[in-house]
Amino acid sequence: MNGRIILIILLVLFFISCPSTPPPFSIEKPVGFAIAESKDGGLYSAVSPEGIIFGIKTAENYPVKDIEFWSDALKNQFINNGYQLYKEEELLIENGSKGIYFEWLAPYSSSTYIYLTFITVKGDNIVIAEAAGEVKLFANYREAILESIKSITFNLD
Amino acid sequence: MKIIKVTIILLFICSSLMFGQQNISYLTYQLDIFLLVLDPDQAAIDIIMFAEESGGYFLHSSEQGINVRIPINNLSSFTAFLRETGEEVEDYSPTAIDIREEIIYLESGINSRQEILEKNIELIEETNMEDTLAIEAEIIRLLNEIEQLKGRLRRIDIERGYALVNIRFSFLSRSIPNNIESMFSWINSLGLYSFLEKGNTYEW
Repeated sequence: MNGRIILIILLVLFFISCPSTPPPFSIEKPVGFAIAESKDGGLYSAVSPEGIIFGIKTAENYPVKDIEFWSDALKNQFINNGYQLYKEEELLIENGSKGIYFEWLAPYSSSTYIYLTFITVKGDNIVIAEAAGEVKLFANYREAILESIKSITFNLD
Repeated sequence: MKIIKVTIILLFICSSLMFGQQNISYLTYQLDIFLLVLDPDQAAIDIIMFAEESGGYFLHSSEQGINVRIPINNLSSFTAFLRETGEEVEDYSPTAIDIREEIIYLESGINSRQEILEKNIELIEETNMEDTLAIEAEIIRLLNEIEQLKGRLRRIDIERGYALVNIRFSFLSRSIPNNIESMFSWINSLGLYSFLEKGNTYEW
C-alpha cells in the first residue's frame, strides 16, 4: 500500500518536473514590444506600449494541406464574415518557408482596427500569427511585427 | 474707325508683351493620394474647407474621391491635415512636371502671330475696301488664336502656383463582421474580437 502511494507520488513528481513541450518554432520579439504570458494556450504573446497585441499559436495541419489551401480557406471565411481585406502579401520566413499574411479592417468601439493574420505551414503544424490595433497606431508597428514574423525559425524537422 | 481699331489692336499687343514678361517657374506639381477614411462624405467636406481656407479651390468630387487645387506653399500643411483626417494615407505619390517646353511653344506661338498681326495692321492703312475686309478677317483669326494661346498660358500660370491634388478614398463599412463558422476549427479560433478579448487575459 505504502509502496503504491510512493509510486503515485513519484509519478506525480515526475510529470511536474517534466518540461512542457517547447513550441515548434522560435521567434524574435517585435521591436518595441513587451513579452506576455498567455493563460489560454497561446504560445507567444507581446504587446506594445499603446496596446497593439501580437500573438502566435499553432494548429494541427489536419487535413494535411498546403499554404495555398489554408490561406484560401482563411481568406474566404473572413470575407464571408464581413471583414474588409486591406492587404494580402506573401512573406518568406527565416528558413525560406512561404507564409501569407492578411490585414483586415473591422470596426471596434469607435475606431477602426487592423487585424493581421499570418499563416505558414510546416509538417503537421500551421503556425498562426495575429496582431491587432487601431489603424493609425498599427502603422507605427507594422514593420516591427512583420520583421518579427520573418524571424520565425522552426525547431522541429 | 480704322484708328480706333488700330489703337485697340496695339493695346492688345502691349498687354500680350507684358503678359510674356512675367517671372516664370517651370514646374507644376501633382499629388495622387489614396486615403483610407471612415466617412468619405465628411472627408470630402473637410478637404474642400481646408483647400478654400488655404487659398486653393475645389475641382470635382464623387463617392470615389475628390480633386482640389492647393497653393504650392501650403502643400506640407495639407499633407499633415490629411494624415489627421484619414485613418491612414495608403499611398502618396507626388509628381513634378517640367513645363518649360510647353511655355516656350506657347510664347513663340503668341509672338509669331503678333508679328503677323502687326504687318496686317500696317497693310490695312494702304488697302481698298475689299482688301481691308480680307485683312480684318485675318486679324480676327489671329486675335482668336492669340487669345487661345494666352488662355493656355494662363492655365499653366495657375498650375504653377497650385498643385493638383487627386485623392481617392478607400472607406469602411461600420457594420460588425458576422460570425459564420468555418469547417476548420482553427479558423474559427481566429477573429479580431476574440483576439482582443484574449489580449485581456494575458499577464503583461
